[in-house]
Amino acid sequence: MDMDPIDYSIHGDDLQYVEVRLEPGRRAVSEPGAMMYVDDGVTVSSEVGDGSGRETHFLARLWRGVRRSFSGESLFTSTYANDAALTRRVAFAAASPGQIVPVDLAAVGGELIVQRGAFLAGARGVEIGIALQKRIRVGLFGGEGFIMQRLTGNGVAFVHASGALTEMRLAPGESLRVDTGCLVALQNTVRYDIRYVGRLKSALFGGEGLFFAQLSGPGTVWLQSMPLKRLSQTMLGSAMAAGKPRGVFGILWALAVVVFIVANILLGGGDGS
Amino acid sequence: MNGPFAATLYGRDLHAAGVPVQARFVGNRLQIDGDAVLEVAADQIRVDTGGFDHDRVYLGWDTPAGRLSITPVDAAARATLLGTAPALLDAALRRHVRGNRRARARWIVLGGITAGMILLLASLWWTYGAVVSWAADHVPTDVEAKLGAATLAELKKGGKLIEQGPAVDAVREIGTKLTQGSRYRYHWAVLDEPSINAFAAPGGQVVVHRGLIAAAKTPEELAGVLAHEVQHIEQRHTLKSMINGLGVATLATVVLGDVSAMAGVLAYQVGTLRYSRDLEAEADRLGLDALVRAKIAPDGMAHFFRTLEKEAPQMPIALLSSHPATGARIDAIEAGIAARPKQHYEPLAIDWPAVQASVSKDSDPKP
Repeated sequence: MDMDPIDYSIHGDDLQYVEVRLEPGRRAVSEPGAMMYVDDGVTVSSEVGDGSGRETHFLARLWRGVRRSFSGESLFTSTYANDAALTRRVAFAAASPGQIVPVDLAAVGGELIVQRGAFLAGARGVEIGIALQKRIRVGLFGGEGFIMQRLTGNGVAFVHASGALTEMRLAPGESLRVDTGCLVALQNTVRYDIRYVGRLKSALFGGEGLFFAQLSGPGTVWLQSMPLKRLSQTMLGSAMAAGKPRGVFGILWALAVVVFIVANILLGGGDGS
Repeated sequence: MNGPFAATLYGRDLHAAGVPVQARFVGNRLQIDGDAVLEVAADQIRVDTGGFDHDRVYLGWDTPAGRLSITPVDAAARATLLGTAPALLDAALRRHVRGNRRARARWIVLGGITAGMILLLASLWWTYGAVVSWAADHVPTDVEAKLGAATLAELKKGGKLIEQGPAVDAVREIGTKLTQGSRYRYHWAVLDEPSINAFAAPGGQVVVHRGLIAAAKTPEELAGVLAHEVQHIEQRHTLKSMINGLGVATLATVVLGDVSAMAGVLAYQVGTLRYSRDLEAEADRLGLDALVRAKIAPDGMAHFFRTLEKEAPQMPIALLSSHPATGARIDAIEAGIAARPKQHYEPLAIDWPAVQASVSKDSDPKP
């Protein structure tokens, strides 16, 4: 496999970007629109497909592009080639509050399965394909849908997701229950299944939904603290509530007023008699 | 001696990507060779299904340093594992294989159901016309008669329905010739409206606007229009259009016989109902046949439409205006007349000026 080792550093706390330093002749690939800045001397080009340079035939590349677009990425890939004689920089920024995690694909067995649209950028040699969820119930209730991204190759891939990201290593036989939607990436050796919450009461009032995602080792998984869906729900909810002073406190306030008035009437009536 | 198979060894203290090893079963023991050298008794091995696609088989066992497990690297290695595993593991391995097969079968079933649904929808779409005709043919004649009667009752309420006099007699005389041997009992009427229109309600109700009689130059022209309207009834076009427009609900109501609710809808619809171009063409074609059968000169139909199109474009000609390709339709009628064998037709023995005079009013615009 053709790969370019790259040097990188990640900046920022919650709104991160990754700066990649390309040695002369090296390349990086990214999603179109992810680029934040780039030094002079780096040639930026867009190509159909995943920029792996594996297929030369246009139709073959187009087919790879179409498959990519199903996995939530663009039909095109931006390629950044350092044609200068010096080391040059290019930076990629995440589109939402969250973290960027570098994953060396070689360290996870050459394949990583990530949430739709989670791939941000990578060294040349990282290929992006579709990982179809073959379990119907997992596809329906697992929180990640039927289509995820399959990153293959052995370079470094930058994976981005909202919230804080954490990496967890599961030993053989070890398993972890995760709120659906919080799964960002997993090694392909990990078993991804769903489990019914178990009790109707917790299903209805536990706020976690009817199912957990069950991840069983061996392998490494990456989790996010705040799925974008949950974040947007919270934001939308507070945006709606901003218009009118309602909510729990509003109701409590109204209740206090009613109690005060009723008490006054009762006490006043008592005085009068 | 069983052949070895390539596998990856995973463990808590090992590299996350696993350690490549060679494994082989020797009797009831699993021997592991390569970067790690281990041996484990088969009765301590647990078989698990795992991996993102749930297609990997994991052989795991517990050690003081946590659980270790191996999985074959590819399909060939998996086949070797399944082929060489001791009988002790057979039941568990079979369960794994069966589980895998079941997952695939589920997709096949789901795919089959989806394909079936698509096929069903496609065939429904293809046979839609036939289904509508079938439904219309299964509406009993007396239901049609009730629908027609309800429509007429609705018109009578307006107080403009003329049910006797020379005009109605003329319409009845021509109409009876056109409807020889019909299964419907026809009822002919004239509506006191100056617009040029005529319409048919199911079950044999034919209503001609006064304006149409005034505009027709000969009784043959009126006959042409009547022949057309009669075919709407004979071919149950109203029902077909209603089923088309209102769909299954109508179908259920009409077939089940609850006419009362439908009649109101229909009464409202009849005046404004538009037949599809195919139904209009069918009524024209069969209308010409009926004219020839009744020995009435069929040219009247074409003349009437042609004259109206040319001479009175400002008149509200509802008969034509509801149909988009009027010119093409008249051309088709004329071609139909030309295609039929030439023969001599006796003119209709009707005192046409007297009929026209009976319905004319001073307020009418002179043509």
